[in-house]
Amino acid sequence: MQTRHRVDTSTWFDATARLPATRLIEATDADHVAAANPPMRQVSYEPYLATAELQAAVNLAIGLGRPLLLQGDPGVGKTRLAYAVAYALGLPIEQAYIKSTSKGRDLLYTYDAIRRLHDAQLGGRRRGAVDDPRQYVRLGPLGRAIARAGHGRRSVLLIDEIDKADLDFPNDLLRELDELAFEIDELPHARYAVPADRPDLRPIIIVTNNEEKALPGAFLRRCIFHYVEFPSSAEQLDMILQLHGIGEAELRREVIDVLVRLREVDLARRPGLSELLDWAGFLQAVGVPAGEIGGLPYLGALLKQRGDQGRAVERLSHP
Amino acid sequence: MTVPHPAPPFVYDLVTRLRRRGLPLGIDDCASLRQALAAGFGLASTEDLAELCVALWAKSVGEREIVRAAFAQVEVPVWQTDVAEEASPTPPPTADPLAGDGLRMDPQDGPQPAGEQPATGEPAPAAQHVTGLAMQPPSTGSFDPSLVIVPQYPLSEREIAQAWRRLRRPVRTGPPVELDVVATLDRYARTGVASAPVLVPARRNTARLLVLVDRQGSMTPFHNFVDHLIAAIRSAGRLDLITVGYFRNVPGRSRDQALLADLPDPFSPALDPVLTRVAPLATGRLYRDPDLTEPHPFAAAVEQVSAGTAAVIISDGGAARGGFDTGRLLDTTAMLKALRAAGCAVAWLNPLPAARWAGTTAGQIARHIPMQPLTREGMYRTVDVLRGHPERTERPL
Repeated sequence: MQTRHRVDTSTWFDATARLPATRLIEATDADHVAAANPPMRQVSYEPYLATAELQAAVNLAIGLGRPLLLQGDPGVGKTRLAYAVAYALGLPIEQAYIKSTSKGRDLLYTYDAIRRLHDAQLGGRRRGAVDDPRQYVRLGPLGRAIARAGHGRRSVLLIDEIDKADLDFPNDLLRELDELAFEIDELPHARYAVPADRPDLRPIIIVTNNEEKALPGAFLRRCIFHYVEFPSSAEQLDMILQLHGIGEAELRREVIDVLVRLREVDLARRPGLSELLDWAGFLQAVGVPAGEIGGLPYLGALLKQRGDQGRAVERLSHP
Repeated sequence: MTVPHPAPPFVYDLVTRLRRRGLPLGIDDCASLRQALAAGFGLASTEDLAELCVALWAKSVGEREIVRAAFAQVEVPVWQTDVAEEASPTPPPTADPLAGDGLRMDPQDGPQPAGEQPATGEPAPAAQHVTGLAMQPPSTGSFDPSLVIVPQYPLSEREIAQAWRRLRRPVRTGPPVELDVVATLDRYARTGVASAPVLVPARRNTARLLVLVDRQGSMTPFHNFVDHLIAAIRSAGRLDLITVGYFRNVPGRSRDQALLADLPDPFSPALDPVLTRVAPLATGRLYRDPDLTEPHPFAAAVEQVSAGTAAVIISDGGAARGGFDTGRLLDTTAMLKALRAAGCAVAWLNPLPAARWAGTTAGQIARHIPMQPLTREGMYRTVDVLRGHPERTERPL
């Protein structure tokens, strides 16, 4: 039975738990995963307001050991969820930011053939290294997460904007995501795997998708799906702003009022949560009085298109 | 893995409904539902179970609505996880589905008999001065969750994506960024001196697609379907460039209308005797938008086409009305010749089934270029033609 197919609910993500302001979590910037006593790093608290449905989806993905596929409007907090989950569970986070040139294998490892050839040609001092191909292998984010599980530690893996990559990208990872194991072609006996009897070590994989391209069905089948909705009520928005350190109640109310009205206007690109947080944070930092917010100061943080800005000013100044 | 108990009937019902709506669910998906339920997910309430199925089975917002609607259509058992508490056998008396939304008509509130005296104790209703809208607009009723409001087209997005992904022309272009290990080793082995590695450009899909869409008139019923098709091609195919041009019936009239007089048999629908003399269409216009408001010269669109571009025409070719129009056939032939002259591989997708083409303009067009019905198989064959697979037609242009 594959590791993926075992249910394990020993790890439970609780979105409402009270968390300390900083935590000591394993650092992930090292190229190699230390077998024991890994370097630690102070990580600060990631404020995130997860709905009950989102929390259930996260726990379902953890329990079944499947990737969690998050969709939703841009700037609604898909990527930040991975950081919040990692912080809440005290796990290191591996990040794979996908580009149009990303290859499936890059997530597992890269093999620096040029450097090895170069070393072989030059000879001399680096001669000894050439005989050891392990020197030229660097593990990728998924590779490190699997290697870390091999050392008995769990990680969170964020695969951001998977639709940016080529069509083959998700398909190339199907087997590795299924078995949570991989081999390195250039190293004959190198094999990394999550121990088969330890479903509690499976990496927690969070995939975000902006729906720019349709993903292959075989990959989608293996995922848990959740659509992150924009907060539906002013109370939720208020809680989110409060969580992100917008202390003035008057400012919050005005800012939310503007956002709710803006989202009713027919805009080419409706402002999301990240824009709202940027805008409100700046307004608070420069001390704009709450009464002036209706005049839409520093609108560039909220609306990114000239046509939208004109429409918003026109609509909000004549209610 | 053996299954000790059969799945409850509502699961069969649910899966059947979802499969009919195009969700490819199988045994594995039912097994994962069972696993998740066994682990304690989705047991709190019926909504919780529905959300569990959404998380496991749906992969987009549209599919989420389909799963939720299917849930409202099947009879899902009410979980009784709390054994100590007895479920009430009868619904509470306030569970009147119409109560509270103002639609209930009480027969006693109807018009009073004429002879009856009005009650004197109550003050007479006074007219109130109102401004603006006196009443709320009438409500259309409450939302019924069992209604599927997601459109279902004859071809699902997945099917379209699968067919059009095959339109590929991978070519190494752009800056050299990929290491060619074999060439590097080969050069080192030949020369024996240290040298820079050999880099080659990355492989890119250079396939280009020109979609010409017939709009309005007899194509009106297919507007939404064709829009769905084009959106799916755009999101699925990793093509270098997709251009969509809209027109009505034909992009323009051919200059060679006089040729029609030279046809030997006025009652024969075929253009064959004068086919070689029809000149490629040089005038006419396409539109950039589906509402046909932004004109764009047809000749300019053809000029932008590079050799090897795949051109696909989506039109009923007059088959919907069932008539035959020699003038339209001539104009269409001129357009096809212009596309051919620009170096396009041309194919035609007809939203009507092949049985309806006979005896219409579409039947004649199909004699000259490969025409396929807008079905899954038809799309596959069309993509084959666009990839350069030879297709035999009765009388090629």
